Amino acid sequence: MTLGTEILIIGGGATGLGVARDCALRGFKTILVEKGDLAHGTSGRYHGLLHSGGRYAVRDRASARDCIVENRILRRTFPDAIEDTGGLFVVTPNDPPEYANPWLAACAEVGIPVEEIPIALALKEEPLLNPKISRAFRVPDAACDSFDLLHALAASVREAGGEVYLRHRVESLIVEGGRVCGAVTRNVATDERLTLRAEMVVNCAGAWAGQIAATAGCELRVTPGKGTMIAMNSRLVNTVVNRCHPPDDGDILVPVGTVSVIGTTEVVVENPDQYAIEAWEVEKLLAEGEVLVPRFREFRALRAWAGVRPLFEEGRGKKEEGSHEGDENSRLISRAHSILDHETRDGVGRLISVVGGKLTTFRLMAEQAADLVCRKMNVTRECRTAEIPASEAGKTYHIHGARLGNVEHRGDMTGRIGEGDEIICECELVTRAQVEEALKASASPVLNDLRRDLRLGMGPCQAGFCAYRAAGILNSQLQMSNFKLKIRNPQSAINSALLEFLQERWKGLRPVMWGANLKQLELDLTIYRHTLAADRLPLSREPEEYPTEKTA
Amino acid sequence: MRYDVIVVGAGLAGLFAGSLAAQRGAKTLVVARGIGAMPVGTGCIDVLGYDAKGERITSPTTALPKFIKANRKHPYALAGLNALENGLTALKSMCDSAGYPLVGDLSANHWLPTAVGSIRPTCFAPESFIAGEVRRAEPMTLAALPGFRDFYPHLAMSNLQSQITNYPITAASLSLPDRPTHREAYATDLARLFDDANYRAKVTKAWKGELNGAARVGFPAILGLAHNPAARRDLAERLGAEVFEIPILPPSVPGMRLFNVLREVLQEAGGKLILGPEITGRVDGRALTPRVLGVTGHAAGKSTIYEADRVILATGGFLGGGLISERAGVAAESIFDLPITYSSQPESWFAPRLFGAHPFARFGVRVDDLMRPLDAHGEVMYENLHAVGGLVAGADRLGEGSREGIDVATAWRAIAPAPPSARPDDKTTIARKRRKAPPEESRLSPSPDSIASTDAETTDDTNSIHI
Ligand SMILES: Cc1cc2nc3c(=O)[nH]c(=O)nc-3n(C[C@H](O)[C@H](O)[C@H](O)COP(=O)(O)OP(=O)(O)OC[C@H]3O[C@@H](n4cnc5c(N)ncnc54)[C@H](O)[C@@H]3O)c2cc1C
Repeated sequence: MTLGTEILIIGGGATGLGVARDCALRGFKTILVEKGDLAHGTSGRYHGLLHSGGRYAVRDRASARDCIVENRILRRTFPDAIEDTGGLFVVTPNDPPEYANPWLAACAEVGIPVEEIPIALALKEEPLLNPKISRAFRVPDAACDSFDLLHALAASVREAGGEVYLRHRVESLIVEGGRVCGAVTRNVATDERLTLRAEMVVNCAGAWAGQIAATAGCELRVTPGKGTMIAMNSRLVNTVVNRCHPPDDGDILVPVGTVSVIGTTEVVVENPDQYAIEAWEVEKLLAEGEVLVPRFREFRALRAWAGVRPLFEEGRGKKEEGSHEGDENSRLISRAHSILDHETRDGVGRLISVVGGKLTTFRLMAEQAADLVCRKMNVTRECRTAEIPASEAGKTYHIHGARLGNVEHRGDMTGRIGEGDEIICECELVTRAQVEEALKASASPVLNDLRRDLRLGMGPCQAGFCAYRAAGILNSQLQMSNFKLKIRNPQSAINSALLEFLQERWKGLRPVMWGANLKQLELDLTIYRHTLAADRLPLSREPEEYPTEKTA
Repeated sequence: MRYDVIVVGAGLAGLFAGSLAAQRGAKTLVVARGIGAMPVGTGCIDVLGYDAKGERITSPTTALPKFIKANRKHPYALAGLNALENGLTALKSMCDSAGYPLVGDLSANHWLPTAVGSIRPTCFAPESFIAGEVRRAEPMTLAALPGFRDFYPHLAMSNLQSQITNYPITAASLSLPDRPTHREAYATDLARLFDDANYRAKVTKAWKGELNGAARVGFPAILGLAHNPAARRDLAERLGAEVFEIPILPPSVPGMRLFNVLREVLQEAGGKLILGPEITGRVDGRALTPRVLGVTGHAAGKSTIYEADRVILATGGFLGGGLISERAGVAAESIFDLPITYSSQPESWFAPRLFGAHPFARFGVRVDDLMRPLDAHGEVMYENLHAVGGLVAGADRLGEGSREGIDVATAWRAIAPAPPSARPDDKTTIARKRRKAPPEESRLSPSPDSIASTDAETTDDTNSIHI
């Protein structure tokens, strides 16, 4: 099948959705294709910090300036993806005390509002913080839920007339007469091929952007920089806490929903689809956690995961592979972004790549990319994304605890549990109606998407209870043929969905398997292996679409 | 307080060991932090479910001699197949006497459906499970109970249908009145409803029309907590069909029934059960032959010393709390700080896949053939301390399908006196103080001799059966 559009955008991360929203709002006919689910790539595996810019102020003023400007715009346009936690930069005994003053000067220069507060006040606000800190500065950092942000972006794309095709993997770009005029995609669920012809293609495939560009004969070296994070099973802090020192491993603690996340490491890897979380990374993050919060290790580490930064600097070759020493190098690769016009760069027309950057600055990257699109198409259309709020957005920031309130008041005011009100995931308070709704909307039998959409299975029970329930609900939905999609073998699809869901959770758990997690693992194996014999489900196939872990 | 035997842990291994000791006249205390892992199991006794290739085993009798020959350090090999058989006989008679029979035979596994529609081999199951046997070519109907979030029979149905073609498998929606209204219903809530004859009369009236002549009806395992056998018989009679149960997510009602049965047996035989305290071990450092003195229980801000001639550790693996791991790559035994087998490389504890063969599953305390913990040199550490159940090293209990069988065999071995010829100097206190006659050492049929003879290939293994 063939479809036509003006602008084709590849990649359903923050960057791609940002470009799609911008183009659609400028009145272009826009289609975005994503090989997985929304937030399948780095945007769904990031640290969760809406930067104030403080982190980059000393070394990279341009990035810092972009951050503070975009931070303000996002607070205005997508408030309900943001929890306004505020941020602190603290000088711990392990940080060079002489860093703080030049840092303050740099922040002033780029316009980041910083307020030094008394230590006593910092400790009153964050009682678990290291009492030996010597200075504390308040900055406008915030926590940003990328799942919420990306869902709101996709909704806004659709509302502006654009389309978002999930589970469509670009196999190759179509090049005719020296210019790109579309892409061939494959539906990863049905294997169907779809050719999308376009006036202009914008490659926003993040760490995979080089693979896309290569199919049009352009060499684009995106260095995958793996970063590992650990979610601790409670909000050890309610404010984003940064170490006031040159950026390094494990120096930021971000409160995200019910957990707090310590991160990150940075290791250059060869393949953005194949990387393992190594024991030294876990050890390093816990050790650095102790510097911010004494006795950090005694709290329960809930899961670990890693994402790959799309690191790019024009003219820079590949970094040293995978080595521990490599991280010094890759931290120096700019966090700024690049908008590449492959016509001037490689002589291949109608192709733009957007690489690098940060989630915080996705809108700016999108604006610049869409400006280039306009120039290439010889039209003048104004960018409107800085003004128009996401229509789904409420007027307020996300409030931690709002979900608990909703679930506690489920049904009528009598507290009776109505049809669909049953809680399916106790840890994250997900109801049956929510699971049914999300499955219906996702149009594909993938339980892993529920993890992203609803946080199903993300809590301390490690999906022990909700995985079976969700599989049961998925089964009923398939039988009621709630899916638009034709599924080749529904039974196999459901069994795979269950096994992939459990396996995906296991991947996050394996690096932090001690203490309560190990007890929980034995319990969950007793449920799934012993009681349900889920490992013996008929017709199951191996998962295919998720980054496979190397055995360390 | 002084006891002949103190058992630490109230899972299957602990309660069974305690009941055995008490029945043999020993002054027995079972003390545990919590109620053990029975409420998260199936309530069945798995002895050996899968072979080395992961295939379902038809007959443990046939497979066991080969199995222990290939796994010399396995708890079954150390305890001996006699201990397994005698233990199972004793357990069965305990359950019989409590009016909650377990049905089965070492020579043949049941193959029972699971709540996702897999087929699970198990050796002994409560009566209320038996009619689920999947090899019985008889139409099967699974009960869908709308509003109960812990059972999805349509999922089980379609998976069973894809494996079983010689009889129809269907599902029928049956209403469940009187559930809790202000919170989700747990299996235990429903089980208590089914204990009540009036409730059963009420629901079956409404159900009859839905079932139109089904031969056997499968329910989640919620058919009564205190009165399961009566509930099952009554339901079957009223529905005019056989009924059976399928184990589901915790809390496991059949696991709790087994716990209650064993607690009753223990207490009826004069044993004592104390739940709650945190336990630490007490060792006699000065004695020439190292002995343990007993345990200390810490609860409600005070400590109580319990002394005993003999201590049985039945604290389980990581789930039970017998093994603890406070950091990656570190593991320890929790009560006496016994040496345990484990790898200090955290990477080598776990398989890359959740259902892979996890090396950590085999971690535990190494024991001799009387279940006494060994030190690094293979020497018995304390002559009056035994480790049983999930604490014992060398088994992948879930992968083998041997979880409960190991509990039973090792507990029996620790309590039953050693053959005098084999260990002349090891006359146990229990043996001397025996008041009642031990349960008759009758064997589950077939006898060990026929175990060997039923499997021609393993005739030469006969010796390895009798350790
Ligand atoms: C560990 C870590 C922590 C971070 N923390 C922060 C932070 O706290 N704050 C911040 O602002 N930034 C942070 N970042 C940076 C930020 O996450 C990224 O810059 C941003 O998410 C990149 O978004 P993207 O859309 O460019 O890439 P992605 O989100 O990776 O999107 C690319 C998409 O393209 C899709 N794709 C790939 N190949 C194909 C194909 N052939 N066909 C179709 N689709 C394809 C992928 O599936 C993917 O969804 C962090 C990054 C990392 C790695």
